[in-house]
Formats: sequence, structure tokens, C-alpha cells
Amino acid sequence: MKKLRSLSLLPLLLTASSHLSAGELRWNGYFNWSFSDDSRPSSNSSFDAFALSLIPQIEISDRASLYSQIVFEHGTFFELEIDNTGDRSFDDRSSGEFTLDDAYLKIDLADTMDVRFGKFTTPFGLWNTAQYADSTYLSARLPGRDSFYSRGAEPRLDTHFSPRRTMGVWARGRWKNFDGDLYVCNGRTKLAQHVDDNNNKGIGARVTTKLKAPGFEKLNILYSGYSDTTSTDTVSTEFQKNRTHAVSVDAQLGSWILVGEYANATRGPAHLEAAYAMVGYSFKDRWIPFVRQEMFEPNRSAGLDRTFVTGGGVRVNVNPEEFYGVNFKFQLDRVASERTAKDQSYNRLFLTVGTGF
Amino acid sequence: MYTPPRRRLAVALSSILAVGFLSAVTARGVEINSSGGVAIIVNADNPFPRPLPISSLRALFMGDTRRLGGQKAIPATTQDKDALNTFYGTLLETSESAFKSHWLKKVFSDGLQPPTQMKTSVELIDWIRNTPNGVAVLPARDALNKKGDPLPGLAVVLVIR
Repeated sequence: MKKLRSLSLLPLLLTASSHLSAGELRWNGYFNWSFSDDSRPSSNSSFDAFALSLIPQIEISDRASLYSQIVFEHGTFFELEIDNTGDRSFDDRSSGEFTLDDAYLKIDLADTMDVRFGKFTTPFGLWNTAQYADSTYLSARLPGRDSFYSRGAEPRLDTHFSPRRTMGVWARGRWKNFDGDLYVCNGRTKLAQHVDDNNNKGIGARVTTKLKAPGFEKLNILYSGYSDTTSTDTVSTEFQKNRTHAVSVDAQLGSWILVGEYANATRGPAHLEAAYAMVGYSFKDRWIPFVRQEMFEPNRSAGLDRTFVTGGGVRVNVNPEEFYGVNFKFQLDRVASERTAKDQSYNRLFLTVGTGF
Repeated sequence: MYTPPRRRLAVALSSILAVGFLSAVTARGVEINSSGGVAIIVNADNPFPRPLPISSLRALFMGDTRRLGGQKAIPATTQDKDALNTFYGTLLETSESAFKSHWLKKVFSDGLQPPTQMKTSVELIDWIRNTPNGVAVLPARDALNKKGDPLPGLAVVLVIR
């Protein structure tokens, strides 16, 4: 039903936009498809048409525009299952659904400042400089959910190192070599994912410094901060404050691509840490081999519970001379956990193909 | 008035002859030959204020703003590789690879459109003549005559050599 309602909105949107006399409609988007597998006996390999994203933008006036991102997630999703007798079967877990990831009205206040109202992905660290279009360029995010850069299955398990999708007001400005983002948004609940809480507000900021250094085509240093309180009035009697700070580096030195991030967070009494680093080398934008490392500490006072991910791979751009191009990304990781429980440490692989348009 | 970083002064000052919008004055004295030079041009009846800081031009072509001096601006470039490399390296202080990567993220996360690339300078000049708020990058030899004056209907913002 929900899917039907979403589908019914599309023609309405298109019809409405075609009658906008002052509005100019433009489209962008991207498509990702992936295959993943890992060495855990309990896990099955899967094909997943992960996302078809449509990004309509409407120029309403000289100063106002509407940005939106509609994503059809998991259009086809098959798991290859092997039972105890060795028989293989495909398990169709397709759960395609439309989600409205972003929809905000953007108003240019000046050459160097704009303000946005609506639903958006909060600007935090490196992650949302990539969104889901991860296979169209080398990004911090993996082509799957098993990353600290993925949101958790429920908000209380979020690492806080990836941004939230929420409703609010977001101002962006620029001054000399600095870019700044400041936003106020709805806080979160302990309920299901994608649920905002109007009783609590979150506030966050990101400052990007664009440094100049010999040999660097890009040397950006980012600080991000976010604070909110988790609503508990419908779940428990606890009241929990959450804060996250992160420092990120996004650099290109000749053909070298360097990305790093460290984040430190408190969630109620728990103290979390995470770190990420990636180094890649671009051979004329066609071949980019890379290595990467992640670390996540969910609770510093809880003993040995850190997880490390060490891996690497290669991204291949089939037609680097084109602006978008078709990209393949192959990646192998070793996930090593300090916890000794079964299946906590394993190997995994991803093969993704994607393109933008 | 924008002052380039000291380290790039030698390159930038020798290449950037003017920042103002008085095109004839700006472009006069530029040695035009077949080997190089990049011009940033606008429509002769453009709505932009003068002078126009280079930092604003850089912000426009990097997608950090959509406006120049309060007026909406539309950037476009040539497909000439040599001209583009000069433009990326000198004005934008980046490379083609970093520029593309930067813009891919802008497209997907901000909904901004990268500068349009036009196949020929003739096409780009025609577009500028019909687009008062257009700003275009092309080989200087295609935008200026032998005296260094802009072709009819155009104004030169700056010339990079």
C-alpha cells in the first residue's frame, strides 16, 4: 500500500512540474547493483539492485529551488542459499520501496549563503558528501550495509558517525577558505528507523577548511559536531543525551587520494569511538586500487569489544573520459572483532557496478 | 580586489591581466597566439558588477555559489583540453581529476549542475551572446582578435596565460 501511494505521487509530481511556468525541471540520478558474500556459515551471498536514485531539481525562481532525492531501494534482492545437503536455491528477498531521502526548498540569501527548509541528510563528516552514489567515485562508504558508515537497523544502534535523515532548517555559508553548515532538526526516538521525534531537537554544524599546500589538488579538513537527546517517553523512562565530534581529512595529492576520519561520541553513559582511513592511487582515473581500515569501539568501558575492518580493492572506471562513466568496484575485507563469540570475525567481498546520469 | 597566494603570484600575475569588466581595457595588450591562453568571457550586456573578484569566479566554477555580485550566473567551458588544464591549474588551483570528483559529489548531494561543456568555441561564443548571465571559459585566441580586443558582443573578465 505504501509502495502504491509512493508510486501514485510520481505522476502527480511530473504533471505538476510540467505545468510550472516559472520552474525549470532538471533530473540527475544514479544506479548501483552489487553482489556480496562473506565467510560466516550463517550468511548467504546475495545479489542486490541496491538503489535507483532519481534526483529532480526544480528552479522556482532566481533565488529559490527545490531539491529532492527519490530512491527505489532493493528493487531486486536475491540470496543464494546452500542447504545442508549442498542444494542451492535462490531466495527472493526483493523488498523494493520508494523512499524520499531528501526534499528541501533552498533559498539563496546572498552569493555566499543559502538556507534550506525540509527533509535532508544532515551534513556530518565525510559520509554525506557521498550519499549512496558510492560506486560512481571512490567514497568512504562501502557498497553494503556492513560499515560504520551505514546507519544501523534502529537508531539506538546508530554509530552516530553517519548523518541522519531528518526534518529541519539548514544554513550553508562560505567565507574565504571556509565552508560552514549549521542545522537544527528533529531529534530521534528509540523507535523504528526513519522516525523523527518532535519533542526533541538536534543541532549540528560542520566547518570545512580548504587548505593550500604544495602538490595538493585538494586538502580539506573538516570538523563536525552533533548533539541531541533521545526521546524515551514512549519506550522507557530514561533520558539520554547524545553528542558526537568528528575530524575528517579529504585530500588529493597528485594521483594519491587520502581520506581519514576520527569520531568521538557519548550516548548517555556510553563513550564511543570510531576511525576510518583510506588511501587510493588513481591511474588516469581508470584504475584506482585502494586500501582501507576502519575501527569501531561501541563502549570504551565495556572491555574488549572493538571491531576492526582491514581491506582493499580496486575501482575501475570503464570510460573515465566521460563525466559520469560506468564504474566497477571490487573489494575484499577482513572483519576482526575482539569479541570471541562465534562468527564475530570473518572475510567478506563486494562487487558493485554503478553509474550516474 | 582579490590577491592571489604569494606562491602563485609569479604564475598568476603574469597570466592574469585584469580583473575588471571593462573588456577592452582588460584584454588589450594580451599577446594572442595559437599555443595558449585562456579567456573568461561574458556577454557585453552582462548584469554583473565590476570588478569581479577571482575568488567569486572560482566559487562559481566550483559550485560553491550560483551567483556573482548578487546576480544569478551560469558557468560553461570549452572542451579544449589544453585550455581546460590551464584553467583548472591556474584559476581553480586543482586538476581535472579532482575537479570532476568534486563535481560528482555536488551533483548527487546538492543537485547542482557542473559547468556545461560545449564542443566548439563558436558554439560557446554564440551561447554567451544569447545568455546575459553566462560566464564561459575558452581559448583566448577564439575570444579575442589580434589586437587583444574581445569579439563583438563579448566582454572579457580575465585572461590566463
